[in-house]
Amino acid sequence: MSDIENDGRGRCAVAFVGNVDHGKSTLIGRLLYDTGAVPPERLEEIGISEDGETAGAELAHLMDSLQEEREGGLTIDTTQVFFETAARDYVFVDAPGHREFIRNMMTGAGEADAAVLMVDAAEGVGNQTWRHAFLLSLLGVRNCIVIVNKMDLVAFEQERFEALRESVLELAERVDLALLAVIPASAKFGDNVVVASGNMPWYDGPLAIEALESIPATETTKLPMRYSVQDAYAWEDSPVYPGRVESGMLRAGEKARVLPDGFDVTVRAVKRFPEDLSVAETGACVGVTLAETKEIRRGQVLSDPDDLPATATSFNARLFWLGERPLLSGETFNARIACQEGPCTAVAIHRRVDTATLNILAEVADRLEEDDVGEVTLFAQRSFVMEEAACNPALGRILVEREGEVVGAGVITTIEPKA
Amino acid sequence: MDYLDQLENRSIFVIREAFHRFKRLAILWSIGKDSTVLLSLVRRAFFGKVPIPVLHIDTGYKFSEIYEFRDRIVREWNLDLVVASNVEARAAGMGPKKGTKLECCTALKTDALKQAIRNHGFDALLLGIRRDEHGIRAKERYFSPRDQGFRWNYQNQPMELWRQYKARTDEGQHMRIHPLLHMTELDVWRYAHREKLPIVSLYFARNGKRYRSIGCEPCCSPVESEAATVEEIIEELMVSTTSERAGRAQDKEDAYNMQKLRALGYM
Repeated sequence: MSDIENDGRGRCAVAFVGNVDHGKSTLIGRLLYDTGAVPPERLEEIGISEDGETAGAELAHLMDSLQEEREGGLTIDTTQVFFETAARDYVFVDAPGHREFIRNMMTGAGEADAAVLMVDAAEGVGNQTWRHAFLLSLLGVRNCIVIVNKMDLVAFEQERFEALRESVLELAERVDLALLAVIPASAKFGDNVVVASGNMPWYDGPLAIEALESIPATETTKLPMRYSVQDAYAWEDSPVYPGRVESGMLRAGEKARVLPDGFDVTVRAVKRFPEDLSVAETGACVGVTLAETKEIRRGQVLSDPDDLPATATSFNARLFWLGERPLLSGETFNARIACQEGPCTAVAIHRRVDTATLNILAEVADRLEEDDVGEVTLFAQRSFVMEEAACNPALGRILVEREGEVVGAGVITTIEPKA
Repeated sequence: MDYLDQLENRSIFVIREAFHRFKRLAILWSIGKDSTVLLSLVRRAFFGKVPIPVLHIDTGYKFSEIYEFRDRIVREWNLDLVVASNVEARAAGMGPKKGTKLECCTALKTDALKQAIRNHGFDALLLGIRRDEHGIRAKERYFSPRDQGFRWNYQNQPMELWRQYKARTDEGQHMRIHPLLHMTELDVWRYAHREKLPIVSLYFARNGKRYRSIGCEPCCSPVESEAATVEEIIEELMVSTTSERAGRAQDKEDAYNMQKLRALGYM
């Protein structure tokens, strides 16, 4: 029975991002409400009577559950809600739009397959619109639907919409986002969300709900095998090395190179309880045993010997800075790439950009302030196994920590071959 | 990879990170469907073994079926069971009739958990909470620190990106780790069905009623249902419009009770 097993129905994760108060939570609330997805007791809890007219503002309370959020009228932390249509299942990720909560926005958006970017029709493109659009691109969330919200505040004017559409197209091009649709809407009153608006007869494009259904399924690209070793469990006769297939396929009986060390092993078995596998796909968290008596450890990467990732100490990353204290050229911090971590030094900073405007602040810089992005040349004390994010994101994403707190996130852009 | 496999693998990665990062990790097992699914995922993550203590907070008000089921699974899965109770509060007669729900849950669950963490020196706990259970739980992280007073600083949570989780806690803190966060109620039942997992009988309908969420007997109300098998529960949930925790008294006392309970260290 396919309904019991949920065969073939993936779950599309969509992040709702954009400037504070441009209506992200309200839009999600509207989508849920107009499709009848809200249980009666939840409606009662937020003060909407089951058969009554809805004013709209309370719809955001379906997402904003914290007392501080409801009373303050803004989203503080990211939240997720599950939603389904006849076509597929969704997770809606509501991301806070306030500058202060950018970490929460990234936590939410980092899990998304696609995004809805909200733009207030009256206020236009704001600082956080630029920043969020840039961050979507950095996080690898390319497919994006733009909702020009609060059209009721601009008398549903086509000219206003067309002007905003132009600035949104420019923005998308600057940060390399693929726009699936740009939709004039009013989340508060429900125009063009689930029901076509009688106020905007000039618009004949998709409704928000239709645009969501048009999000293409995430393509799985053919990449070489990479297996990150997560740990070593020695409670059986031969040790089992648990890990994650970061890309490609891991097969029992095949040879693999252990990096950064560089020796070869044979995967004796792909372990899974209660039965072993002959092959494990990308994303599988399994275990391996080795035919040889060699030991491996967390942080090492098993790779296809015919198509190896880089092993390097010197590389460049496009780094978004989250620390309250700026990154100064010369600082050493802890870097994490998949299951690897170790000290890295920022030896040079180029192309410092203000993410609120995407203006270049300096081609050569001595620092990155909070919310800046820059091209940072990094030097690692020990070799990391890595790839350019554009080729294989699994080994191309880097987080940077100070005293256990994340202060930077980025993608590896170029790698210096090891001398 | 099918959809349930994707969910399972995400959970297993989180469980193994927890085991790698913390010296004294335990799993909190309420005997409900979620923490039983979590326990089965721990077995899968560690290739058939449960290498960490299994902590059951016993309020003394649990259903008798819960104790029977617990003891059977402890034998079958060879578990290192630790039962914890707030003995003093129970001796003083704390119960759902004596205090408010907030007071009773705090004394018999949160405080019992505090004592167990102190007595056993646990620095991290695996818990089977899910985002779709409650708006407050929807805000949670996979790795969620609690301070010495057990408080949850929900206004300043760590960033989680690209499967990188906060790796350490400060002195006196402990980490709450939530490997099932991304699963829905329906996912849990579909997974239990696929894996043919043992589930405590309270969830299955008898005389037209079943429990959809279980805790202490006095504070749980059954829902009207004819669903007597896992398949029938899945079919029921696919058309149901009421929420999972509609039968849980602790949620109803005050609109923000769950936020208050969790800020104080409740699971």
